[in-house]
Amino acid sequence: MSQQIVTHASAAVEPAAHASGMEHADPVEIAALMPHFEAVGFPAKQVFGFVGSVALTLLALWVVSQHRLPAPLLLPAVLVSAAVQALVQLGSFMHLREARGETWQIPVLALAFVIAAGIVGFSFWIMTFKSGVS
Amino acid sequence: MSLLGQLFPSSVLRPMELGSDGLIVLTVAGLLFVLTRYRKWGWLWREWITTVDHKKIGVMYLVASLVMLFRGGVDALLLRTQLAAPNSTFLGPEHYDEIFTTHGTIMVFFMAMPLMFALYNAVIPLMIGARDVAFPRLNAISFWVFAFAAILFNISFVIGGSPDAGWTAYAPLTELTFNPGVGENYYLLALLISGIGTLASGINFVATILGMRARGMTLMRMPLFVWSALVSSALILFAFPALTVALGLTMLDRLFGSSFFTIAHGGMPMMYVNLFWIWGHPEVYLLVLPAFGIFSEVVATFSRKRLFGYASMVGSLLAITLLSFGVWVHHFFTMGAGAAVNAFFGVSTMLIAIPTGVKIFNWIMTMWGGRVRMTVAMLWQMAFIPVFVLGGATGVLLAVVPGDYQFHNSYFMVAHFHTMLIGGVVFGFLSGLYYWWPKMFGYMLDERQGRWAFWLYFIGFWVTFVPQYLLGLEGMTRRMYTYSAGFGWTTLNQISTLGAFIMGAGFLVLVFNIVYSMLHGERDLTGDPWDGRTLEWSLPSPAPEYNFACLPTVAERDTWWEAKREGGAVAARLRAGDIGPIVMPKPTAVPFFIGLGFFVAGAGMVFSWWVVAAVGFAGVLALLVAGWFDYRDHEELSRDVVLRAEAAAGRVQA
Repeated sequence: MSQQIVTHASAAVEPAAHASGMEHADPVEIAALMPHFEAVGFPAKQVFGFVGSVALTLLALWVVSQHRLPAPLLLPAVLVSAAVQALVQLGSFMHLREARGETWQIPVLALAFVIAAGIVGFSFWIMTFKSGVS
Repeated sequence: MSLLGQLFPSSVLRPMELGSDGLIVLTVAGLLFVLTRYRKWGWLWREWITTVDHKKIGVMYLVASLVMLFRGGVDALLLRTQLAAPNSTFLGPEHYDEIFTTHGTIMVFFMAMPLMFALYNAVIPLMIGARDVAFPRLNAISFWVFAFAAILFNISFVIGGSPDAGWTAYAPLTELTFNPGVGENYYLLALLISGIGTLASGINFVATILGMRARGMTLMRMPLFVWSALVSSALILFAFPALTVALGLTMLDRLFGSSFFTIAHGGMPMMYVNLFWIWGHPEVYLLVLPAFGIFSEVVATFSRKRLFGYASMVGSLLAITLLSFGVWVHHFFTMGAGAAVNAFFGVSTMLIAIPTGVKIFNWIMTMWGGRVRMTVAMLWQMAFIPVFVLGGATGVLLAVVPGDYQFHNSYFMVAHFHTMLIGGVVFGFLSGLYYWWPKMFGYMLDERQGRWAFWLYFIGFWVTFVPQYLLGLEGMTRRMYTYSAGFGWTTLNQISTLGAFIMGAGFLVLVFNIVYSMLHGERDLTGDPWDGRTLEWSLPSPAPEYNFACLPTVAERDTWWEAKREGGAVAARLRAGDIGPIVMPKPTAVPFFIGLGFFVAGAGMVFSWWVVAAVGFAGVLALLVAGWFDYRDHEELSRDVVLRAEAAAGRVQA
């Protein structure tokens, strides 16, 4: 649906752009901001994303602070909830399907994944030494 | 503790702090007097405080950054004065700790970062043929959040007490047990708040560059400064969250009794170090990459030659960006991680020298065979090359793990990172300032005075830091507040202090240069004083509010240079028929008050005044909601207005 809106919005904006001076308002921005109110009405996707993110954060906090799982499972549980939250936010906030070419998302997402996985993985590796010293 | 005792502990009642109080009161009174006497309040409000124009926001970033350079520089001179003689009692140990902490924090967060954003704001939209950034109001919010965070950090030394755990603020030094008082709270809150502005700017410039380029400006036709701003903004997005987490957890430890970094309750201080440098290493690249971009513009313009090896320049920018996320352990090789970890990060660190070396050769090859003009901007560029090669070479030495066990935290390392940050970042941004100053303000900076500032600063730099490399080899460690005469460090320290004062003199000449040129400098009437190559030079100086009356179409790299070659001096002339009305974002007071709200909230949290903090946050939230539903955030400049302005500038074809 959002794909449709983008096509429609850019078709409406771009030819008029040079005459009206609206170029500084990028078509994706216009599509993302303006027609959503008419087309969707209630921003259910965004509310779901927000409530879902808060709930997942609270879940992680609760599981750890109340020790609701055996110790070896706590860390994986937090990591899984973080990964799920990243997906929820990507899906609900990040206009993943509204770009002018979805192929462009792939290298950026891959880069984000490599960096995130690298930071988390390397941090585990770096911190393994503490089992030897403490 | 009484309120008075909390606000004014003994550390802010030392003579030096009381003297600063007097100077601050005098300066503020003077500003208020001038603004009132010359009826400038309305002008200040309409033209600056409520503006969303990227060019004016850039100017405000620049002013803030120069003020912070002064504060950080005075801190540096105090440190060097203390070290000029053995067993000096000029500063006490606590005082010395506070000053090196504020020196480092201010220089990185409140001098270098805003100077970078000043140049982004000043020229990125002009270079890509856009009328503003993607989110003009968010841009103003970024600035005001940063400005109020800077104020919050800077008042710490006269109200409540300065932070004193170093700019890195390692746990457990920052934990409440070892560091009572509000100084570290100031550090944490100010950096957390300014981080919001930084992240928003990162998003803004990625969106601007990817979404708002002129027709025909493909990625590989972008000027290199735009490329460097793009990757540097992306680095902000990937790196700053790690800093936010590190600082946020420390704040929870200090204000809400958690124990993420307190060993007593199973916390792990090493994790703070890890998180800090996950951000910290990309941070230095996100500062230096824009400087690389500036050098690439400056060297091409002043060699009257196309940049050598454009594609390899872009490739090495991307390589540095990626590699910068795989090297952070080299900041703490001595923490005790295993040999495999240290070896991996040592090698990955050395790899960065390769793409950087590619860039150095490309800049030199651009000059080769070109017609080089020795302007001040070009002098900074030329000076950068040997300084950065020295810094890079010592960096590779530091990356050798066994060697690092010797160099770690010595003055060798202090000298290394000052070489990189001054020789890379400061030289680069000053080069950019001299280059783009006419575009920002409409007048040139006097070249003769600029040369004086350059030579003082450049010579001062070597005199300051070469002795510090040697001191490091002699065994002097960083953050020592004094030393005894028997160590044999006195002469080298004295030379280094002399150099610092020469650099200070260079700064004063720079300020004089700016003020003198504002009054008497040559006006830039052409809009293209350097015979430039990129789109910003196709506009009058300073650019009109809407930048481009007609948006340009780009057919190749260095598009303005090519247009001039084909069309001659009239290349910038427009056809009256092409000019239409222009929709521009409207000024708004919301960003200023959002900054103020964050300031109130931050101050409330620093002193644990929860009601004040709640009021501040409620204000921010209310302003955000009001801003979201403000649909009248743009206005139209009629065709007549645009046409008249362009005709007055002589830019319309007869």
